[in-house]
Amino acid sequence: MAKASSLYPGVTIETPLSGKDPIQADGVTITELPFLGKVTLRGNAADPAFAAAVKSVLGADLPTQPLSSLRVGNIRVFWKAFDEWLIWTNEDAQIQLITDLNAALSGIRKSVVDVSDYYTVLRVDGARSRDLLAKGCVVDLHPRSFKPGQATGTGFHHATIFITLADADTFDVMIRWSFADYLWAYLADGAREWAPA
Amino acid sequence: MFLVKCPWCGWRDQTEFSYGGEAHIARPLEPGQISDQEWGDYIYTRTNTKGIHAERWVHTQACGRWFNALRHTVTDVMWDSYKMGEDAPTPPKDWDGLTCCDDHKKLAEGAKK
Repeated sequence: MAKASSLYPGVTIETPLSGKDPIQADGVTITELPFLGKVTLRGNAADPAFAAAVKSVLGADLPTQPLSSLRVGNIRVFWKAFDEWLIWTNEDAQIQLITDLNAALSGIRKSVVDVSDYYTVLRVDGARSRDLLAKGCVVDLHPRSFKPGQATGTGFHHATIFITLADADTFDVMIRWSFADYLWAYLADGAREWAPA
Repeated sequence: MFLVKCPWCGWRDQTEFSYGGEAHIARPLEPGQISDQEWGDYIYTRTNTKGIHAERWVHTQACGRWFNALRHTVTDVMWDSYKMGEDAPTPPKDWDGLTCCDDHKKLAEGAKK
């Protein structure tokens, strides 16, 4: 839903999916997690100064295992590449986080970029979430292969997505702003076979 | 379509990757000092291998990193991949181009048991 900005008085903010009702089908629900803060962090994880500075801000070591992620309070940190991480925060909390990261990392080679408005996140939840996502996703999402906490970029038909398993049957899918409507329509269409009569 | 092994993310569908041509072709350090023939060779001449081919790939849709890989150009099966700057792995001399390095390892372990 469009809503008032907490940062700029009088300004209404919305995402490409604002105004869409959640999709409810038998065994799967699709909702948007709008306005999450998203930050791309890059740096050399093997540099002790970099690792220590990031840890002082996040309160935990950066995940260095491919496809892994971690949660610290309301912050989720995802491994994106050996020198790149994606961080999700609550709405607008990324602003303070970026300030803190830049301060802690001053003088250290890094890149901290606010990508909150570049992507939005969909939540695909329920026992049929895997069946639905398998209609367009090339990654094997079977529980023996894709475990809770794992995260990866991949393709979803024509779109590039970033997908993570938040909980047993709960997938969070990050998609480019301009592709959000495409993914939403694709998932809505895919869920029709389980739609209530 | 075939599977490509990213040195970080593991075996993935080929559609997640982009191909970057033959690997280990060094750009001439002094392009102005070499002949047109040599420059032409650098730009255009490739081995056109039938068999094991070292080539560059990038995991466009996931980690976005470049790496090198060995692929059999007849069967389109990738043997293994390796990070930039590392030496190429050597498939066994009798490699039939039908199994990848991980299958090979599993088969070898199975045979031991």
